[in-house]
Amino acid sequence: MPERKLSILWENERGVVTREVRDAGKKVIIDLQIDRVFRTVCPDTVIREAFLNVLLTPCTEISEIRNRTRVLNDFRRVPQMLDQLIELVRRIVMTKNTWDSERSRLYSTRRVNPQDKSSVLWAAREGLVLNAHFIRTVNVHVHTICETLNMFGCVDGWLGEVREAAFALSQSSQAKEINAFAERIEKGLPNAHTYDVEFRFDAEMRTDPYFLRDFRYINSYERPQKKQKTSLFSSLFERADKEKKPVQTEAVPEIPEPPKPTARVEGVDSDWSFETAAKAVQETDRYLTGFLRAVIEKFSALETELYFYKAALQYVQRFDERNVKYAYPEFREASENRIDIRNLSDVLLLTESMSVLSVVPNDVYFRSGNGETSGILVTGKNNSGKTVYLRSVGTAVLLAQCGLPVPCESAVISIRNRIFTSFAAAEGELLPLSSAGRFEEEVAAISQIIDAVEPSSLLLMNETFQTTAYDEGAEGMYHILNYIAAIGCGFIFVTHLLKLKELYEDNRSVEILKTSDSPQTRYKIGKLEG
Amino acid sequence: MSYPSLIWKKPLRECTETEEKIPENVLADLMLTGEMKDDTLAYFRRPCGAEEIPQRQGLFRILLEDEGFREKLKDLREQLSELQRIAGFLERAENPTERVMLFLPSLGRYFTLAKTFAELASRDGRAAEIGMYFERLCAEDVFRQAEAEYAQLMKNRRPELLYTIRGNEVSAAEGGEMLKDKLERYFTEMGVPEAIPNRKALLRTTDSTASAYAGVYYGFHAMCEQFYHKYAGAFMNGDRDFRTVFAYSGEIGFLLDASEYFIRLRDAGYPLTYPAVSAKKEVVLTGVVDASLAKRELRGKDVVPNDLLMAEEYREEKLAFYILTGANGGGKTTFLRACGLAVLFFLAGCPVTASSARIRMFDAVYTHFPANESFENSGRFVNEANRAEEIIEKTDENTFVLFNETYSGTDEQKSEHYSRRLADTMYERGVFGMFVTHIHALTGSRIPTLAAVIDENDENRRTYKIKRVGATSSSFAEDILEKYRLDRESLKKRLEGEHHAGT
Repeated sequence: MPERKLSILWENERGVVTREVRDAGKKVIIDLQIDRVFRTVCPDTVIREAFLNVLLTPCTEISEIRNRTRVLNDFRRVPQMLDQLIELVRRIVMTKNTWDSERSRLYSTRRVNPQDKSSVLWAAREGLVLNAHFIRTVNVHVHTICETLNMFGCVDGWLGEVREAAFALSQSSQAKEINAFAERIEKGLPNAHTYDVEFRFDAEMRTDPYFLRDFRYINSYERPQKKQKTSLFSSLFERADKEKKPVQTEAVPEIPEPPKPTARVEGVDSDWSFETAAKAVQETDRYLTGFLRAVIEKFSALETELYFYKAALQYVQRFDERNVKYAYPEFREASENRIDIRNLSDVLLLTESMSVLSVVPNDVYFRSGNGETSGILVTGKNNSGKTVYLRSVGTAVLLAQCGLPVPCESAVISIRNRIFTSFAAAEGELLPLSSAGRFEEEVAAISQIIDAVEPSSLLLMNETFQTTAYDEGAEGMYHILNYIAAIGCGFIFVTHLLKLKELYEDNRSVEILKTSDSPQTRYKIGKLEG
Repeated sequence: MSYPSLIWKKPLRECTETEEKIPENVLADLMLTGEMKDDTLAYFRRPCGAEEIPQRQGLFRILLEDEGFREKLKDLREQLSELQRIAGFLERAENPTERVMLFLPSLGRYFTLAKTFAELASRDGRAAEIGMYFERLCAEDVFRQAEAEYAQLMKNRRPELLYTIRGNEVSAAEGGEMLKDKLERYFTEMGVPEAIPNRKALLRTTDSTASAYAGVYYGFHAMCEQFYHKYAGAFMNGDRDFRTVFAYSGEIGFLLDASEYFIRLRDAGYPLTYPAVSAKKEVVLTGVVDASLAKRELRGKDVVPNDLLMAEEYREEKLAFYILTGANGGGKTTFLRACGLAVLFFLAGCPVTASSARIRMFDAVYTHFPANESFENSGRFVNEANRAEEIIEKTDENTFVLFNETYSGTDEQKSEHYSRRLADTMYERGVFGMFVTHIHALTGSRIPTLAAVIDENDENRRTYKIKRVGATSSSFAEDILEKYRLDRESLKKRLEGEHHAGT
């Protein structure tokens, strides 16, 4: 099994999101006004965009959702850890930018005469020294990421994986060795005079490219570092250490190794030597460049993922501030086709209204397939809370499937493969220049949805097909709804098409809800009486 | 004991000189060019002997049925090209050190190759014979001994070398653990295997590098030298010279490429049969179809099959040479090509596209099809006549000739005169072949005539059937013209239309 790509959002690498899925996702977000919610919750445009992008493709794996929830809870526990991680990852991204610009500067300013092999070697050395420098810089940042996660005790889950990766790339013995090699290159290669170049013959006496193994250099003068003042404590400790130290055991005289056979390479001149050394330096450079790029890519990919959690955290914090109750839903397999939420409130109202107490919660129960409800029709007077009800369900399912909590008492949701919305558009909101009538445009939009719909999807429709004669609209809708139910997809339909009620009179597969008419229970939704 | 050839009776080393008896234009006329690689097509120009045909047919039978056998041959071809490559380096080695070092891997590859060949022993026919030859070869003392010594040497071989470069002083030493390997291992262990860059191409070793290697690993080199002197004589000389086996790659290439072509035909629904070698002078084809139609995406079931009977003597009639006439677009050329391909494939030992066949041996095949090249020095007719003349000179009763609308580039009288002379000459000489012509005056003579049948009751529909007849008198050009709106009526209408448009 291939190793999982380092990510704190996705269980498996998400392939390319097609334009069709993307557009449908955007439409859902806009129809449910989730973008509006997050404009209030998360004022930073970059972070918000990153967050909404993730919302385009909700998770369909329960384990993925659980993992996200867990990461989110870790960040909720210590919000400063999230800020610190974002800062560190940004630094890595910045280091990459500097590295790129430094390299292009180096390539554009250096003068290499291909005839003069020594200049080729100097140029190759400069490139390697530069990369060695950046390996050390990035190493520091990765090290800090590891330390940060360590400090806040993230040892397992996806954050634990990040910690492990950071450890492997900055503090493991291998990483230390590479770092030491980089340090040696940075310090000594500009003054190198002797190069150890390794290569290998294959069975047919062909050689692979030369590789720089080591070099010797002129040690330039270094100012001796000032001896740091030792504190009283440390001197005491040192003394204690000294006292503890056992008497040195006598060193065993080493048996000198027999000299390895060496041979003078005949028939080579200085040009050949410079060229060979340059090739070796370039090959080593290629390896270290690959390493540096891999490390940077591994961590810089986390930037937008962390932004998602930043926005999600702000969403949760908003609820905390306003004393809103929320819960993480319990997830079921898609085949169960079930949504059961107690006292669900609308997120938009919660974030925007003056007082959260004025928001009326409602229950949602819905179980399609197995001869039970395949969908819900919501009817009622104007301004009685139908659309809010529809929106609250859609928002709850979508956010829950992205790993976020939902403002409710409790929730059981089975995974929806996809979510579609069809909200009646205002005049001119559809294609303004199209010659088709409004109804035709609506039909076209519905047909697109019907093409894309799959079993265990959720379809949310708001006053669809009311742009034609109501009886005709109802008739048409009836068949469409039956089709949707038949393929095992659930729907909630807010409508004024009263004829649908008649059509469904003998058909118990659709539950008909009605908003309350009484002023005392305004915005409450219940079963249609009689 | 010299290497046997896979597809010829002669030993392998003499096979390269086999004469190309069939001219190149035959392949082009029969539309075979481009269907297979040029090297493969060259084999179709070298007709094989009566004994070789059943051998090759046996090979093709296995090749077409058994994918495992095809894979085996592909493997062999691959190995041969690798061996050829390294042996090329050995040939061009600049100094004794390099030669000694390269001898080792060359021989190693040769050993593997011989063993792969030996695995063919479990097959049938020619493949088994070749396999058994190599089995015996591998069992020889010198072979086994050399192989064992080779394995021992390879085990002791150390490939790494370390140069220490200081100015122009370069010294070489044993390589020890490679830093590159270590880095690659580290990258994988650290979870960034993608950091390992792509491998660069290997470089040819140079004189100085080889000497340095020999200097550092002098003990190993001495053993290699010993090995070289011991076995170079045995494996680079005489019958067992390992370089002789390179000739197999051409033969295997022919077998694989041709069998792929026939598999394509089979998959497109064309019938395939392995003709019997007829002792009598005859060509009997039933249900023959033109394989070149597969190029035009025609499925086998959509192609009309025809029969052909050619014999030196049949019911007291000489049926070796035919005149073929009939409607345009009626399938004359297609029939001609079908028969030509059948004979050509048969002579190369391949299956033919017919339901059954019995064919005699021929020395050569010639074709004369209308040429579309530009004639720089002479007119079209002169060129055609010259080409025909060349063919006429070479023909005898052991050749198979196809003429397609020869002498059509002149006036009717002249054309008739030349055509008659050609047909008569061919008939007299007892040459096997056919002559497609529109000169209806030629029909009805003693030379047997074939015609493309049309259905006059059904708007002159082409049936693409070829039948022996007295003669047919019309070429039915009218309906083709009509189809392309070039007949009189259509042209008139067209003209009227343009006239109207003009005014």
